[in-house]
Amino acid sequence: MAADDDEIDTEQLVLADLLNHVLDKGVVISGQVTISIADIDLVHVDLRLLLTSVQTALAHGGGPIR
Amino acid sequence: MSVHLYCVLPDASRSAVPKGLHGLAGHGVRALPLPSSPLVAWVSEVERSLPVSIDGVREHDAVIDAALSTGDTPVPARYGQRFASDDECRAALAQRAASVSSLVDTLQGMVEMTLLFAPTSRRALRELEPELSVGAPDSGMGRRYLETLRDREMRRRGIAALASELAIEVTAAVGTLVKRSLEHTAVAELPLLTVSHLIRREAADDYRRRAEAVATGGDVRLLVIGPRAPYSFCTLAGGSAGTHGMKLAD
Repeated sequence: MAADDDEIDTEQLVLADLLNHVLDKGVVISGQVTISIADIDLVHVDLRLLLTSVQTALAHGGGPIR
Repeated sequence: MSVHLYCVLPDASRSAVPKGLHGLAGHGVRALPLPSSPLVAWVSEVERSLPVSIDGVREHDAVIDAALSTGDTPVPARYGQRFASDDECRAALAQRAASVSSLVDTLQGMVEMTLLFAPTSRRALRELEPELSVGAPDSGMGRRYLETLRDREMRRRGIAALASELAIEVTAAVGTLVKRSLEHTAVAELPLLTVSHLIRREAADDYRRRAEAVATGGDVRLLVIGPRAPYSFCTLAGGSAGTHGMKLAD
């Protein structure tokens, strides 16, 4: 594991930014996606919200995937 | 199978899909001409049950990046815009044809640059995490817990304030190049400040030089990301905010 004074990995920050740009809470998602920086989960909670969206979609009868 | 929409470009002849370009799950990307329209959509087949994944997000973005490399500016579709068939995809675009065309026209020659402000080190990030120190059972755990939360909030505000000051300074440095600006609400929990700017494509190198010339250090670092397709500036007329790409349907 890298030392605590090391810079946070740039690639992980870029990935976090990409997810911020591409994903939205309205996206229908299945499965689980978690990314971590310095062992701290960054997007897990919000993706749980996305997973909730799936359940909401199913509760409303599904339909075409958009 | 269903049809996954990646982006919309000005027209078929100038925006040919690069040979061998693959999208989600390795499916080949193809151009879908839109009748009675000067636009073309880039799509691929995709399994209806394909789960969203980090790889999928990267594959979606890679196709849009390839579209940007054609020299035209694609209007990226929000991730997850899938249709039962080509005809359904065409119909969804035709339904918003005027608005989509206007968006494509407006964004031609433009790219998005992103300023990302984040804690510099793993240590700085960890200091923002709540901790409850372990003490003797009679040492007032509840009070120390509340004190820990207070300290954490003060550190978070301190880093956020530093990021805001830096953002103002960098934004001033690039200000003359910026056509439109948007501050993102982060999906990630990391105390990031993310500001996106719409600029002319030919100004991208100048933008990066100016931004990176601003001195940073201490607990906040700056990343300059781009040029990329204008994900943050894709709001269709009468539609929901297009800050994650163009959204055709709920």
